[in-house]
Amino acid sequence: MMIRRFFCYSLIAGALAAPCARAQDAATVIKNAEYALGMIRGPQRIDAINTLEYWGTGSTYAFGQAYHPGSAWPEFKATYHASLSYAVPAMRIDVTRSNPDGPIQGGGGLPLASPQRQIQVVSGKFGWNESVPGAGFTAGTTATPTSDAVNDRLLQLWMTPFGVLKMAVKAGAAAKVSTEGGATVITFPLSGPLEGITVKATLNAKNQPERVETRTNDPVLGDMVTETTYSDYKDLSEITTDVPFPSHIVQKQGGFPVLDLTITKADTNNPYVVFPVPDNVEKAPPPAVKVETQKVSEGVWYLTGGTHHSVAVEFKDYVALVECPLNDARALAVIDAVKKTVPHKPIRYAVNTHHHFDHLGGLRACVAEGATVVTGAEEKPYYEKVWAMPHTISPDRLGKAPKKAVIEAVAEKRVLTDGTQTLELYRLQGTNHADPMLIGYLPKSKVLIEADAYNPAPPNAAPGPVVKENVNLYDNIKRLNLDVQQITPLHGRLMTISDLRKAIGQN
Amino acid sequence: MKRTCLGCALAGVVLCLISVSAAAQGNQSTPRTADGHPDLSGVWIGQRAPFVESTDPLAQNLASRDGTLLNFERDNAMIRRSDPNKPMYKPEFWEKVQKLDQNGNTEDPSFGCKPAGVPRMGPPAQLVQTPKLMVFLYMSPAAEGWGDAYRVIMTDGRAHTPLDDLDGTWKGESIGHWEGDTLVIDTIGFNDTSWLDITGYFHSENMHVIERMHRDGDTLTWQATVDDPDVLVKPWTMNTRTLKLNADPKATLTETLPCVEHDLSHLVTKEHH
Repeated sequence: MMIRRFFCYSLIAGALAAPCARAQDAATVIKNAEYALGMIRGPQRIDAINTLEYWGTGSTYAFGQAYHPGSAWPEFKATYHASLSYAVPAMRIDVTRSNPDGPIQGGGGLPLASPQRQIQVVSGKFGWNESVPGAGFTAGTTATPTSDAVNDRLLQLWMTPFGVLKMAVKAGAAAKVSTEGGATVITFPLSGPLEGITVKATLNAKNQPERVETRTNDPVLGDMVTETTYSDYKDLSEITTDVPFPSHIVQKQGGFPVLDLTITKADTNNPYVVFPVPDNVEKAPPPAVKVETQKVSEGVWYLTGGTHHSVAVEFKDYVALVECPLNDARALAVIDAVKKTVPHKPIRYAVNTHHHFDHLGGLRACVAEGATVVTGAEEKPYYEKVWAMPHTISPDRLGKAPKKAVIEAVAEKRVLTDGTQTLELYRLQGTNHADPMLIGYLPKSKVLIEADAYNPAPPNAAPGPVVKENVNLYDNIKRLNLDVQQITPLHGRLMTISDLRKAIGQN
Repeated sequence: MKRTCLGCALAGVVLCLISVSAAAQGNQSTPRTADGHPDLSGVWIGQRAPFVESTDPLAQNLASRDGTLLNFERDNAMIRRSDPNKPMYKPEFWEKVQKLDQNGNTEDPSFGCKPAGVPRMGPPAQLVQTPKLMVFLYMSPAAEGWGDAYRVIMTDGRAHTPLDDLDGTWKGESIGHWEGDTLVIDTIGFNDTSWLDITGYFHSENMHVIERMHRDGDTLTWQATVDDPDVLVKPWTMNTRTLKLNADPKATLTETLPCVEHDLSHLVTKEHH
């Protein structure tokens, strides 16, 4: 009786496991892909992969931080360790990045004085950065809430080879199969917090996901494509599992790599990985856009309250706003603050210091406000190009009410003046951060406006090593004969020229 | 370790088939003892309740690869680790858990014929209830530590022996009391040798285990919560196990084969066997 039953189950199991010869529906294609990745286990044929770890080396790139507008994102060498749970869902990315070949050009923290460890975690609806894995549960460790990053991190989780198939299963009848260039393609919508995002997964000849593509909203690039390619699948587990994992992962955003990893080990054996949410993360208030207005001198206001600041300069009939940073929400809050501070005067000019996405992301809102953009010469064609891209996933103010941007390109110098107020704009020379890059100078109040060339440390912080970009800024001030008394950094806090001198060791 | 995987699997199949048979008997009212408490006495079946739900009696006990029973997954590694219900260890112990799990062939105490201990030994196969004490009887593979095992749970109202006066043991000191119709067993006084499960889940000597047993007709549920502030971030409640009463009044436990370790030195991989 037992033997007969055993063979009966075996025959049924074998029949169901065989590739389907007839036209493949989405469910069959997805199931075959799950088998191809070794996810399906047991006679009950369940997807048994719940947790996963993988390690690799290669490069990470600072998205949106290119040295020249339109060039590739700057590269860091990296060691990479990902641990994740599809059941929670949760993911911890532990990256140590460095630029061992010395200073290179671009933003994103370059140059690094020493290797820099970054640990990014998402667990359910919570996101945070850790000083060490498990930070927040051990004395002396820090967990910093980053709720804005939750959806991006969840998307990374579900774009992994196993994750994409799990979500395809979850999509049910909404998953569709097509053929492109002879390859099988599964297309399906995500759900839950990622609702509105469509995933397109292309399978290789062995039914393994080889390319996963999504489109998400980016403040600069609009409907931005993220494309991840997986190749050279192998069983990389220390304990043999017959679960193949890609030994090469490349991810591109905006057409350039953001990740290029050679995977050296993958533990697909459901390793013990957990993601307890620290109390301070769980109780963190939702992020709020806050603008604090500080009068620096007559007709000059420093608009702070977040990570990226702006400066409003009042002229007789209008206002010039230096920097519309981050995104629509930040820029709109800044615009609102300007209107309250300087009522009845339009924002005629929106000065953009440089093309890094954190400084560029809100500029579209200022265009929608009717401001003329003033920026570096090489940035003008780039902005015209990226602003023509569709913004349909999450339309911003300009996307909802399109308006042609008026852009003034500054080659070396531009002066805005009406006799009552003067704002001089200069191209910063010799910087490795971004080229072109503008600084502003207000001769009447002797105030310098700069971004990323001098990011002062918090008060009472121990003095650090001399930063080359700080020295370069000071050299430019001297070169231009600017009589600077105060500095309004677009990161950090109000400083004086003496502070800058101290920072570069010229007391 | 001392038997082949197929032997274990067949034993599991028998248990499951018996379980199906018992379940077919239908629900019964919950009998009570003279003192009014639910009578938990009896032979109970189905101690192992995998988190993977399946109506296939073979499915819960046989591991396969590529969807065919003819190609067994050699160590059942994927499925048995895929339970999302995990104890939340403090960060400084995460690596230790992983290493213990990866080296389970040599590190898992039950692989060396040692007792499973509480709570890994789970609910009993037979329960004898008296007004002042309860006797839990086990048989492998339910006890997991290989070999028949027993527990005595005092229900006479006594308090625990002070922890400092207890010698740490595999089963600890168990004191039971009733909360309504639920038997609550409070156990302290452990050694730190046993594991909570096969996946490297160790514990400290300060572990405190609360088990809850509730009978509803011919169904007995068992749930254990592990509190161990020395190593866990928060208490861990294990998956509930559901047992069915063996309705055969002549049912008895069969003797388990003795555990004799002789395979370990021949293992050449880290796969569990």
